[in-house]
Amino acid sequence: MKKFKIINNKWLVIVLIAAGLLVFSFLDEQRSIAGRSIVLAVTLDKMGSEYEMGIQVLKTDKSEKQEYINYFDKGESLSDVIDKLSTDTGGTVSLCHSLVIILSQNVLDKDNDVAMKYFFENEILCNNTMVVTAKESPKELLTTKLSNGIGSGYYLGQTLRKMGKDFGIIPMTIKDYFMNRFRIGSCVYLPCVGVEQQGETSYLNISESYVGNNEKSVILSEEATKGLSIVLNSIDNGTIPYVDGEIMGEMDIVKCSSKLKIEGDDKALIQVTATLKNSSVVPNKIDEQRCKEFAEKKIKEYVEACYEQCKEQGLDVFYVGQHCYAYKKPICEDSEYLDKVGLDIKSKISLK
Amino acid sequence: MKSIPANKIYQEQYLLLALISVITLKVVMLPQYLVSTAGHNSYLTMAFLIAVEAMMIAVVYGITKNSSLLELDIPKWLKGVFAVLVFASSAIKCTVLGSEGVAYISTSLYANVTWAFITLALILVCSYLAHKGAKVLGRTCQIFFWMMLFALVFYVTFSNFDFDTINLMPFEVNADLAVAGDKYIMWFGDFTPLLFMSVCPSSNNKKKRLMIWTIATVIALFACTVGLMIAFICIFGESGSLVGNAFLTVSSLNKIAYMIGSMDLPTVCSWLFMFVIKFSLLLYAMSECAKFFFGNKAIISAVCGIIVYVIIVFGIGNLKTDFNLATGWLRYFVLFAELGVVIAAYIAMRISKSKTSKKSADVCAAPSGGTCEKIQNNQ
Repeated sequence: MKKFKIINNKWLVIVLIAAGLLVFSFLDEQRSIAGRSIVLAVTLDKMGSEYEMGIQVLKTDKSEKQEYINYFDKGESLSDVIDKLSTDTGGTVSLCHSLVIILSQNVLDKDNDVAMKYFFENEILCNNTMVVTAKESPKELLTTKLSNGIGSGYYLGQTLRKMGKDFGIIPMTIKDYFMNRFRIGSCVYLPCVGVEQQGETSYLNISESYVGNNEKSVILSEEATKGLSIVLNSIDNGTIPYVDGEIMGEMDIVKCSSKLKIEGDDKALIQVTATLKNSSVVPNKIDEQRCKEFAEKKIKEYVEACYEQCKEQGLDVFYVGQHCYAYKKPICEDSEYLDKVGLDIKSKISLK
Repeated sequence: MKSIPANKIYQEQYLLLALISVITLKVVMLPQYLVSTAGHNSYLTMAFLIAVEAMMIAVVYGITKNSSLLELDIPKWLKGVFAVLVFASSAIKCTVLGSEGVAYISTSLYANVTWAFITLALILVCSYLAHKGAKVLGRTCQIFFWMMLFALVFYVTFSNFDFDTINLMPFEVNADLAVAGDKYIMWFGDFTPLLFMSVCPSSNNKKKRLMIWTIATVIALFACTVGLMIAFICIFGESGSLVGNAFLTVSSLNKIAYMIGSMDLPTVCSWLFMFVIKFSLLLYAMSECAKFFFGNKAIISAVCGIIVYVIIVFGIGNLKTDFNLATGWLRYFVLFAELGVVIAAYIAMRISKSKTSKKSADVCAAPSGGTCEKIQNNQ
């Protein structure tokens, strides 16, 4: 008969492993979530060789009162600044939950992505963190008091997430930022956010875009930003206005996407396919053919505005060089390829 | 009930073990390294080397069908040479590639917990699994397989990223692919631990069933390695050279991320299971080789575990040293051991079999050879 054992070998090993893990877990410093400062938004500016970093954290107390507090600090290296901010906040700064990072144009044009690579390579910010630039100063943007009482950084992050396929601004995540940086031309496009004042009310203006390549940059107008989204985003929300004699209305965008093709050796073709819905209040007076023509004209205007504004600065915003390279066109090796490649825009509009 | 020896596994278990052994450490840092060396076409290097690995696994299956390497009818000194080579290559792989997994757990799962604790936890569990043998490893695989399948289905259902195929173009076969293949060869050739198993048909053995399992394994093998590489390049383009922990970064991009935050837990958990099995498999190979010389004792597995622990924690200690070791001259030794042992073992097995069959034929041909049937049955 098998001898009864209180504990057999297998269970002894399991208990020993569990005990070992438990004991060793006490030896390491375990910071609980209460000991961390969960950051909602980050700002980054560069002044000379110093970085100025800002963070927005949410403090709650037992009375359920929420308060968005901003902290700013400067330093030669980002790890120093983060350490200083940890001291300021009284908890280890945790940036991985940040919804948005607001960069100054100084950082984008002069830092050569040193700071951004630090955040990205070391997984300090998560891949889905939105990247924007401030029209004036990131500090001003973060400290803006909005009428709804929500912290401006947090509000900006939430708003950008909802704007995914809207006509106009294209939200940019940190992973897409780097994907674009590594393309031919190194051109990145970001929402450019400004603060506007109306009486005592402050609000964020998110209608323009920044386009830059580490050396040169341009702020795209609202119209040009729409052109940018037609070519580089797939849109399912927004309107195109139209005026036909005395009739004024707008067309809702149901779906709009585009493809860039390289034809021959030096011709780029942007083929826009859009499905629109006429939302005029007087539909019976509307000529569908004229509507389509108007939409085509408008789309061409938007796209051309974007392309021309960027081309003037030598910025390959539609990644024509990358497409030429992908289709093995020798012109991409020419440093002046942007001037030599012609752009043609064709639209295929259907009305619902 | 019929008891199965500790190193005997079923065909399905062998396929699962081979799949996990090949995939596990190719989906962490390797995509980043390959992209940084060979750019957007680096998936071709991965595809080529995976195809070679799949073929070698078929050869290993040919050797281990019915008996493991150490049970083959070959000279004992040859077995000893094989054991030394496999012990060394498994120890190198276990420490150098194991460190990569430890680094991932230390930095991505915890906020820089020291390697000492993570390695200790792993060594305790994996040494135990290694000592228990291939049968336990095979069964563990079968149990965790469902978790892995769930993670894969979950990921495919909820994945959310722009599949920008322009990042894969132009299609070019150039010298960089060969350079990448040479530099990162240490990450390939994960088949020698499988030599120490004896594969037998399962009780519900049917040819069709095995064929389906084999096809599914090959598809999964390419989908999880080459497919992941292609997805990685489509998502990150050339900037993939900055992105470590490929499987985690790709799986964190899902629809749920925008609603409740990054939902990568199923992938992380299933990878952890895979890593435990892979680590145990390498320790198992080390233990089996050591047991060939020192006898079948539990202490042998424990000593192997201690050696690996000391090298990882005190010898390697950080990802930079680990990378230098993995891409240094050691890789050629590991490649030689991995390929050399399998090819030599196959040749030795064929010679030994042909000798035996010749002997039995001679016996059958002899006028007094009434034992022919008996000899053939013994074979």
